[in-house]
Amino acid sequence: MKMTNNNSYKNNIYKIFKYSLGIISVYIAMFFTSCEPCYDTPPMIVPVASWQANTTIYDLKEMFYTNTPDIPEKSAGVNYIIKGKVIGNDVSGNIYKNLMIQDETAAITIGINGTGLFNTYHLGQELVINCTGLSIGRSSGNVQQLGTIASGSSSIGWLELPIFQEHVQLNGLPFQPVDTLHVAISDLGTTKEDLLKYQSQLVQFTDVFFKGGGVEGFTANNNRTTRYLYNSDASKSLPVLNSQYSDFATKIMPDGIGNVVSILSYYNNNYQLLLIQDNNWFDFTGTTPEVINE
Amino acid sequence: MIIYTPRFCVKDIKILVRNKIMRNDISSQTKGLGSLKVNDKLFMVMKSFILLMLFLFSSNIKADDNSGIKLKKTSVHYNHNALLSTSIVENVVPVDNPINQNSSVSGTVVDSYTGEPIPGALINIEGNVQSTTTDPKGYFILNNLIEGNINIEISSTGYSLVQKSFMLKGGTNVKLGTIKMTRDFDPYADDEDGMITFDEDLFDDESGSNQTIGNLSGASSDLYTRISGFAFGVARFRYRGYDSRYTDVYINGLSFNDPSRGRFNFSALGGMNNAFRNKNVVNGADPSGFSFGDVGGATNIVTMASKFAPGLRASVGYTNRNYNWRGMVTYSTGLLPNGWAMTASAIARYAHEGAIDGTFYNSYGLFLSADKVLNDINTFSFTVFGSPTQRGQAAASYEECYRLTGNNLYNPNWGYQQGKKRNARVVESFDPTFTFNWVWTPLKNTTVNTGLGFRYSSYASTALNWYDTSDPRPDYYRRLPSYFSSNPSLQEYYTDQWENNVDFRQINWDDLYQVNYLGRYENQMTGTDKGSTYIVEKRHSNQTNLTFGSTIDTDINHFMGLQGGISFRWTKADYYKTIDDLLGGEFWLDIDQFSESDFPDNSDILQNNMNNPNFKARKDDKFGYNYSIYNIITNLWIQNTINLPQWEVYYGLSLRNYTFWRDGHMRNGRAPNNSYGKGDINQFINGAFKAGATYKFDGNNYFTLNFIGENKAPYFNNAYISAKIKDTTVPNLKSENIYSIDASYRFAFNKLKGKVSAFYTGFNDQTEISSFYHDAFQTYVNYILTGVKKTFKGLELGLSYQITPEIKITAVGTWAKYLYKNRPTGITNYENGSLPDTSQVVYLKNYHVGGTPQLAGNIGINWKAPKLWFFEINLSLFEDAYVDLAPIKRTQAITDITLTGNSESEVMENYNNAVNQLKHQDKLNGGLMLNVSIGKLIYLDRKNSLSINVTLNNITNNKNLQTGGYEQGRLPLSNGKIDTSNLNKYPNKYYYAQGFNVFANVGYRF
Repeated sequence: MKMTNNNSYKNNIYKIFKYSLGIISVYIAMFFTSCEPCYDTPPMIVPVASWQANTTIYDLKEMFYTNTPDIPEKSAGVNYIIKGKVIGNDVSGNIYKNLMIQDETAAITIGINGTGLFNTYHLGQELVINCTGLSIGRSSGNVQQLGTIASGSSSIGWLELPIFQEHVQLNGLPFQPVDTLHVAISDLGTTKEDLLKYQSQLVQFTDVFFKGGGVEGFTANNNRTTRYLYNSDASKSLPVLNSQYSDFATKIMPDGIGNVVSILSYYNNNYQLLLIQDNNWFDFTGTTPEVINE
Repeated sequence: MIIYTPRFCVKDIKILVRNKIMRNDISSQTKGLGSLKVNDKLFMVMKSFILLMLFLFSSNIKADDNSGIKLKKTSVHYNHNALLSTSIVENVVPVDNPINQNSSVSGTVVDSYTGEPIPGALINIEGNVQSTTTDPKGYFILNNLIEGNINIEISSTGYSLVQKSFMLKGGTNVKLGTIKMTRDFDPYADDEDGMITFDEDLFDDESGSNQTIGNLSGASSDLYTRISGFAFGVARFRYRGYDSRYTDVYINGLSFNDPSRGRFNFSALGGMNNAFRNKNVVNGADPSGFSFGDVGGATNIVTMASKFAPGLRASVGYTNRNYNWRGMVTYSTGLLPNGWAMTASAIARYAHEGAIDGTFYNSYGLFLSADKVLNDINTFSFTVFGSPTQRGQAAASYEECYRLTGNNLYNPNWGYQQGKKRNARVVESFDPTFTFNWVWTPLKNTTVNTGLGFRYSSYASTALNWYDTSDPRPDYYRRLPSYFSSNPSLQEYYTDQWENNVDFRQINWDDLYQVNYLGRYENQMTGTDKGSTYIVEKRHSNQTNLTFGSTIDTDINHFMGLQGGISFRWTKADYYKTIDDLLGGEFWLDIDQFSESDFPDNSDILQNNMNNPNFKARKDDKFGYNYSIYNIITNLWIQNTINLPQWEVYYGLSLRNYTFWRDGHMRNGRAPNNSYGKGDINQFINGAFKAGATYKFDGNNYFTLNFIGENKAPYFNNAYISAKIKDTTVPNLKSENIYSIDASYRFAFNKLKGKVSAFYTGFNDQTEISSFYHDAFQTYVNYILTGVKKTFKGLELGLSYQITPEIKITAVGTWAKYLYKNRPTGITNYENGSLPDTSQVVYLKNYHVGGTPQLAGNIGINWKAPKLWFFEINLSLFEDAYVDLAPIKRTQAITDITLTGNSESEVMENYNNAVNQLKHQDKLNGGLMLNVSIGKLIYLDRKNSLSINVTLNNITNNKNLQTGGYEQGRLPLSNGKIDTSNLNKYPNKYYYAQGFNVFANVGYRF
């Protein structure tokens, strides 16, 4: 009798083991194959702007050449809409809280209170911007740009990023080719027409050199530093403003004479160059000439 | 042939709950002493208590360390021991001891309705250290009892307490026969079906620990502990304000506290209340038979299969908290005639979305335990359990966010991805645990429990990380309207976005993907080599523990017991990060971006692993940091208990060795010679002493005094400045010194029973580490506090009054002060070494220790209505909780202010206002919480029963109760100085309690 009982208990235990193993297998399988949480991977979006540009950048700048805190409608129910490709942004950290866009007529800077702009507004990205409701004016009396003008202020300031986002549409994918104006330092006049044409433009200088090239870095003492770009005979120069936060801040300026691409900014009634990233100087050869008369 | 004997387990594991249980439904008889004499003594004891309370609260506590900032200092010193010895000990009058003779009490405990035996019921003799549990046949025997008036308590989860009172004469064996227990519904007992226990908190705390609602109450522990464990859990109540690392938790006598932080991870138990229902809880320094204990007490969870009543229990519950559904089933064979017993339990908990937006819960637990009783002398027991859990977390946020969203449970962790909610902070944990025990009873009153434990614990939590872009978290301070306080139109704009645009106030996953996609596209188009800008990383912290322990519990003679133990614990803890999701990007560049900006021309320093520089981490690759900490803990303890008719005395000693070292698996560029390979060995040898005495005035009045002094090694989690990077320990790393004294008086006057306690605990030489992003230096900073001194003192009260046999009213509460008591040294360590470490005085004196209410109370009425209906209503109060401090806000750094004002007095006023605002420690919103429980028990037949219960929590829907909060470690600087125009630039973050919530459960058992 006892043996029988023992056998039946053993059977019970065997059953419990069997069921336990079954439960364990099922539950491990459930846990590791369950799809909680699972998400659909978002597709890459190729944006298509629904707005159509109705104004060139040149016309916009000309039309609102003086500070305009609130760009009006172009006509009843029609806003001023421009489009252009991004030619300058904060990709290297040298340009800060600014985007430059360009169309076939001119270029304009947009001040935006945001960092990492280059992650969304890549170089070569076409933007369509609804300018009505934004401000246009000059930053400290200098370069003309889109932004916001606080009441009582004579200077244009940064747009908050979300507000900019309400005024911009992306069109297509970025990294589309952009036009680079080939200019000589001596070409850069300061008439209204020149400013409208050149300010914020992407330009290339041929056969130029950096004063201190091959010796000095783009910045010194971990501070924002102004360097100078000369034409090959050292007869003309332009200031080059370099930020200590740029990727190339501690790099030595190239030795010799070569080509430089940059954004033409404007400061103290003079053009000023803003390098975009560290492929903006190329084909440098020889040694840097000495500058005798500054 | 195995011969079964029902007495095999008389002292089985001898789970001696040596604490003197207060739930003392003791008979009102006061025999043995004249009533006048008793009253005199009571008067003296009460007088002593009043003196003690006055002493404890006599210091003039200031709101903060004002004097420190002004470089003035006042301090109060107490001579606690002297005062206690004169006020209390002097008042005790010794009483003659009767002759002790060996007496015993035995009986069999059964279910009153089914007649089935109840194994594992706790038998406790009021005022006596000795206790036992019933064996699988419901049988128990207690030997070596002292002659006199005996009040015996029998308790088991899910049953009403049974009390028996009688006179025990020397040399007699009292047989109580069959004792019937009636099924009960007690919302405070962690009944196998009715309650939610061992669940994770709704929030993770910022340090990433998965803080859980650690319910330590057992079936028959102290009323205060029992009720406070449940009723105060919602307010993150901590027993006596202590961190949970001061409470030891054992499973079958083996220590399972996390050796890195000292805390027990309750979520490892997977919510399996049934399986972990047998617990022995020891408060404070009270003695136990399984461990030396700690200032916060000790708990032993007993999972031996023979401790479970045979039968099946199954339940289904619904709640609207972390999870929605819970299903639980447990089957126990009970002890079979062949000496085997088995218990299996399974649980599933699930919520597609929990009570807090964006959270989810997915957990399945399994438990299996088997005992083999070889004979009277040897029992073997094996337990295995584990519960893989995956859950989406909530996070604390700013008051501003709660206000803007109109939701005090606003959760910034989630956002929409392709229209589906995705949580950025997902925790995955799995802690498979094995224990094997051999319980050896070579002599009638000697039990040796030897065990071997193994646990592999894996814990991983995900988080967003980003490179060269702004913080994508929606409640980043630059995205809040308050950041634009100087620009009303922008403020309005941001307010509108917060209130009306869900993609703005939550994470916009689709945008993060698009950014990463464009990085890939750029690589294709321009030949660059860009990785992901945003990723989800997974931070792993895994542990392998191997534990060996052996304890002995023996009676030297009829009044003296000896307990002791030896244990050895080996741990390997692994810490590393992996890529969880590249979010559409190609790879993640494994460099330190803070170093990249601080050391742009040093390509080595930014490497996280110089042995594999510029590593492009892809899905599941390890990156960032990767190191192990090895730890060995050996412990030896011994304790002597002396049980005399009117005195119970114990004293014990513990010795511990805590050794650890780091083994780095990456050569970090910030510490190339101090990060890779095995580091220095750190060893601490510590001792602890405790002693206590209980004086029994009679069967109904007891006075107890306990003392514990400990020297405790720093846990390795707190020992390194930045273990992720290097093998450098905190300067002057040393053990902390702890001393604690508590006194309690337990009484039973007819229908009124209760206990009042006072405690005073000092912690000296503590080390605390916090880490944060330093705004001024734009780099990651570790802030280390050393030599911290704190005191915890307070009163506790637990009362119950039996209005009628069916209606009982209970009241518990604590009033305490948990304070910093010195000015420790703070060390600022710049993680990437961009600046040398600096040290400063931190003016913490008299600031509050944050994170737990220092005043809490609960009143409850329990009615056992006719026809097996049960009703309970209770009201809790929480007050005096404070935010956790950021030490840097109590340093001279806050006085470096840009001075403004038109006159000297105005400048000074502005200065003082700024300093006062910065150093102010915010008090959390307290409040009341009302809960109602209704239960109904239905016997389908003699074997089968159904229980239904509904608990309505917070029925007044109080959503303003703050359950926690912390200050941010950064100061509102502008050009290196405090910017008075925006002092609240980095406001505190808070947690709120959930409003009305419900738990409904249907249970079935046979």
